[in-house]
This record gives sequence, C-alpha cells and structure tokens, in this order.
Amino acid sequence: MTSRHILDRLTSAVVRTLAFAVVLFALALAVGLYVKSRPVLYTHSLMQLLCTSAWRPRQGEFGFLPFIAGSIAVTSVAMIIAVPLSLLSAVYLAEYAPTRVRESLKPIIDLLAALPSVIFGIWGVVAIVPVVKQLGQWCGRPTTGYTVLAAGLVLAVMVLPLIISVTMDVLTAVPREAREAGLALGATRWETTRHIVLKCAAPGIVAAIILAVSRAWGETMAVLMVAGNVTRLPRSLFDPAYPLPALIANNYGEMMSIPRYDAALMFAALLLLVLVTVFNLGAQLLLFRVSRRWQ
Amino acid sequence: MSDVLTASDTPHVRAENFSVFYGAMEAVRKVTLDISRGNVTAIIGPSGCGKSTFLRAINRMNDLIPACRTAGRLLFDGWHIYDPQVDVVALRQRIGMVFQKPNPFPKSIFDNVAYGPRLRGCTRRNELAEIVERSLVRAALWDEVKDRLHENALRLSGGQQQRLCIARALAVDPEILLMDEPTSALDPRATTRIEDLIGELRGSYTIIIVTHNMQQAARVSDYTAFFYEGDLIEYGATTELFSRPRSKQTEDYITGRFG
Repeated sequence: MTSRHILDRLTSAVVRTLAFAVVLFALALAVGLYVKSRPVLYTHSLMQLLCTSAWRPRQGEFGFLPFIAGSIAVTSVAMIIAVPLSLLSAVYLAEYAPTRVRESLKPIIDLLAALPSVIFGIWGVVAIVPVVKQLGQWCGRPTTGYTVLAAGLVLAVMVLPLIISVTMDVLTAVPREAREAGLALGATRWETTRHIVLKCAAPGIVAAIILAVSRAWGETMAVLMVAGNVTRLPRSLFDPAYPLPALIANNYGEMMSIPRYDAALMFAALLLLVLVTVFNLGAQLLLFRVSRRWQ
Repeated sequence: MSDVLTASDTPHVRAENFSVFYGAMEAVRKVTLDISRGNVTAIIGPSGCGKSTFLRAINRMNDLIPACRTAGRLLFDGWHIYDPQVDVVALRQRIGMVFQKPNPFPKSIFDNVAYGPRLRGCTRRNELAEIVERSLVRAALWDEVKDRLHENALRLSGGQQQRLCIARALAVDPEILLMDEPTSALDPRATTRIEDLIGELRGSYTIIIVTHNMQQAARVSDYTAFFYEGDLIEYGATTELFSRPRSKQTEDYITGRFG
C-alpha cells in the first residue's frame, strides 16, 4: 500500500469518526438532560408535567403547560407575521428587483440575520413594548406592553432576514430554464413565479421556514426581555407569556435550595430539545414526502 | 418584390439590419433575412456565432438579460417585435419555443401540456383533455403516455421530455416554433424521433431551428442560414447551401475545416 492509499484511508476514518462524534454529542446531551431531570420524573407523571398549569416549586408543583403554551404562542405569532412578509420580500428581491438593488441589499439582510439577539431584545423594549401598550389601550385591553404580541413581533423581525436570505438563495438557484419554459408559453412574470419558480423552490422554502421556527422556538434573550414572564396560560395577544427558554434562563442557578427545582428546569430544557427535534423531523419527513412525489 | 403581397408571400419573420447587443458587444450584427411561412429554417454556425441570440430575439426571450438591447428592425407578420407597444405575453403565445435542455415543469404530463391553454383561460375539463390529446398526438408522444397522463413529467426519459415540451408548446397553437438545439441533450434514437417529428410538423408551423449539427440541418430544413461571429454569412435553400456554398467561410464550415 502506498502512502497515498494510507492517507486516503486515514482521512475517511477521521471524517467518519468526526461525523459520528457530532451525532453522539447530541445524543449525550439528550441523555444527560434526561438523567438530570429524573428526580422530577419520579415524583410526577408526564401527564402532570405537561398538561397542568400550576407552577408552585415550593409546594413541589411543576406544571409546564403555561410555558409550553407561551413558547407555542410567541413562535406562532412570529411565524404568522414573518412568513408571508419575508416570502414576498424574497420574491421581489430575487425575481423583480434590478440586479443593483438585489446585490446591495443581500449583504445587509445577511448581516441582520447574524445580529446578536440581545440587540433585538433592547429594540423590543424601547420600540415595540410601548407601541403594544398603546395598542392594548385602543383595543380596550390595558397591558404593560410586555406581551405575547410584543415577543411575537420581536421574533418576527429577528427571523425575517433569515427567511428572506435563505429563500433568496433558493429562488436564485432555480434554473433559468424553468423560468424560460413558463415565459415562452406566454405566462406573465408573476404567473411564472407563482406556478413554476415557487413550485421548484418549495422544498428549499419549507427548509427556510423550519430553520426560522427552530430559531424562534429556541430564542431566549430577545423573548425574555419583552414577553412579560408571568406564569399564566396566555389567552390573548395582550397577555404576558413565559416561554420555556426564558424560564430556564431566568431561574437556573437561583433558588436551588428548593427540592427538585433544578430537575424541573432540566426537564424544561429536555422538553425544548425534544419538541424542536420532533418538529424538525416531522418537517423533514413532510419535505421528503413532497419532494419524492415530484421525482 | 411585387407590389401586392398575399398573406403567404409575406415573410413570416423578417429581419432588417437587425442587431443584438450584450452591453457593448454586438452578438448579432446587422442581419437581414426573410423566413418564409410553413418551412423549416435551420440556423447553423460555430458556438458563440450569435445563432441562439438571434433565435431568442424572435420571441423576446433576451428581454430577461438586463444588458441586452437591439437595433434595426425585426418583424413578425409585418409587426415590429420590438415595438414598446407589443404585448410580449401575446407574442410568445404565437411564437412558441423548445429549449436545448428538456425543461418540463415539475407537474404531471397532463398539467404540463394544459399549462398554456389554462393561462389563456381554458378551464373546461373536456376541452383541456382534447387539447392535451391533440398536442401529444402531434408531438408523437400520445401512445407512450396515454395511460399515465397524471404521472410526474420528470419521470419520462430525456427524449420523451423533449417531445412533451414540443407538445406543451403546440398546445397554445403557435404559428412559429423556435427550437434552440432541441436534440443536443438527447441520444441518437431520441434525436431521430425529434427530427421525424419536425418533418411531420413542417407545413403546419413555421419552424426555426438552431443546431450545431450540420447533418441535422441538412436532413430537416428547407432553408439554412449560416452565422459566423455575429454576421449572417450565407442564407439560402438548404440543398443549395450544402452543395454549392457561395462563401468560402460557409464551405470551410460545412466541410468541417473549422467550428
């Protein structure tokens, strides 16, 4: 065996090991969280933990429903606002905008997507919370402004550049032949975009949305600063929410004298991990099904 | 030229000192030619000679390229193709196009062919089915796909995909069919089928085909135009051009001395 062959084998062994190591690390993370949250799992049923809303750590009551609902609420609001807006922006930038506009805006959008989330949090406190407070008064729902709506808006602005950027890349990657086929049949630009380009790009766009949901779901800092963090099931846009990541960030390391409290927070982290994984797997499966139908 | 022109005498496409520029580069240089109705006209020439650019100018596909502009006149049935008033969408429905790489939509076979008619507002199921069948029959694909019209078009072979693209173009009843190297991505058998098909469509449509394959031009076309570096070097009846080329460059090209 020559040295080139040895090097070849060595390289494949190393990259294989590294690839498995990454997967193993993720698994180890989940197992670690599970082990650490066992104390609370011994004393409470999964039903009790997931489906009740009483959160009284001192009395040993750990109902995660308000936090789960809070997370779902702020993420949903963010997506309802961000997805249509960002898709339309991406379509404009990729399909309609003059090259110069596209090429000068793309780096700015990429930069926005990479901005630290605490900046969005501060901007939320300064700009969004007062607006939401005002809005609540007009709607006859007096609030502090620290609400589901405020958190949803801040998250929406955070994930907007992310979806726009990925969707633009996906749209630009649609081959020119696909567009030409539509135009040559007498389709207008919008018809070509809607029937053909978006259809070809659909798997990539879904992937962009999955990415955005995962980002919003796990976002801690920006949400924590504007959501209000009240342990109650949110019933309207003007109610405060207390999403899971905020719960962990606000409380871990404090009040550790309370029995099973840290186990409960570990369980919150596990929940966060499991839910985001399930969502991702589900979405990937859907994507796989959809794209297989067209192959 | 006589003073009175009947419809069949008017050239279907006429170029008068027609040029296409990409930025400062003149890709097609002051071309003048008449393309007659119902015939097959081949455009040949080495890569980069402007033949595709000229073809794509006829249904204004070059509009997609930002730095592209034209000069001179290009007429379709006596109408200025580059008149700002022209409805490009309507123009493209009358001048269909088949591309180098088969490009079916990621839709079913039926929906591919029905796409054009649906754009024009045809929604009746029976009427659409009739158009789809007629177009597929004309494109010599019907027998192969009639039992699986609702299967994804991307499952077809390359040659079938290209015939599907021809059917799709025919479904909107164009007068002219532009073909941009339609067989360059296909194997010899599929190529023969497309060439046979071109022969069958002759007379019903004006066909303009760009090809890098001189044998193909000789086999399928009535007239041939030879382009070289943006200039139209020679244009005439195919049999004439291949047997008695007037220009030295044409002769060198068709005898394989360059290109």
